[in-house]
Amino acid sequence: MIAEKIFQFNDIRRLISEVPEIKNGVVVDSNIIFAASYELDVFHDEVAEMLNVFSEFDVPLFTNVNIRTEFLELHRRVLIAESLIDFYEDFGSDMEPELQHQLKSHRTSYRKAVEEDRLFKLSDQRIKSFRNQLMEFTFNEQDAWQLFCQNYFSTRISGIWEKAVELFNLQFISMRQTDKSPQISGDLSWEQMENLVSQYGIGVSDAMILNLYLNSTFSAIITADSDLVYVLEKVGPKNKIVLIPNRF
Amino acid sequence: MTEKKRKGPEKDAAKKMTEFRKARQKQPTAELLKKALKNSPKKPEVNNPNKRVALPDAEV
Repeated sequence: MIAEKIFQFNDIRRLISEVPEIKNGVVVDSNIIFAASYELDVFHDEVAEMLNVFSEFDVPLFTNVNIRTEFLELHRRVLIAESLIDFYEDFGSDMEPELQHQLKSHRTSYRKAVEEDRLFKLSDQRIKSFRNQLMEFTFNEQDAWQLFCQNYFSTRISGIWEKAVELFNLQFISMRQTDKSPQISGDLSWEQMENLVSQYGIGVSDAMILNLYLNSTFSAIITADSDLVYVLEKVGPKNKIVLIPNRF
Repeated sequence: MTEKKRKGPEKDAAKKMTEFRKARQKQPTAELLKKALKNSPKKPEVNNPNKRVALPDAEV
């Protein structure tokens, strides 16, 4: 029996042979599905390799509504960043000097992040700032932010979750009382979730994922989120494994 | 009732996901956007209290 709880992707083959329950499925966190689907993510290559091991052993991957939400939000923040650069490169010369300057500066920051092997995500505040600037321009009752989204961003993000479900063969864990998945073994309460937030100061969405994992029959979760790792180190029972990237 | 055996991810799923993403980066020509940018900056029309609204033609 394995006594530790935190393992790296390098350990995956040994874990599958020593903990056969893993073959029944693992919970996969949003940052892992995101890393698999976005080649500039720092963990992309090793996540891709790990998924091939799961493919080889036919280990199903499970997600829930919070993981889906976080996955789409991560994509929104990186894909708007990318789309704004394309937009600037196509139409920079038609823009007002201030907007031109803002977008040029955004492109410089993006390029610097790529050179430094960092993932570039726009903050929600910065996205709103670009939106406010672009909505000042209108044509045929549509503002330039709407037109930007329709022409640059929409095709990038549409269908991305559905494709991930198809390729990663993601299984959905239902938490509804009327339709609860058989993998849910305990009672999922708001009080338990709020307790995780209040005791460890983690985000609500992370606490919901954690609460689900702790009240399930799954023996492993794969994550690159330091909040989840931190709390599971503190409260996770010995039979609840956490798998993290080697470069974590 | 026993639960059906679920499958793992497809082989090279991450590589296929990247290909899918890259194929969607091609954008249609954004002519309307170009026209919008050529307009002087102004607040969206709905927020403009001074805007004169043309009444629709009366039905005959």
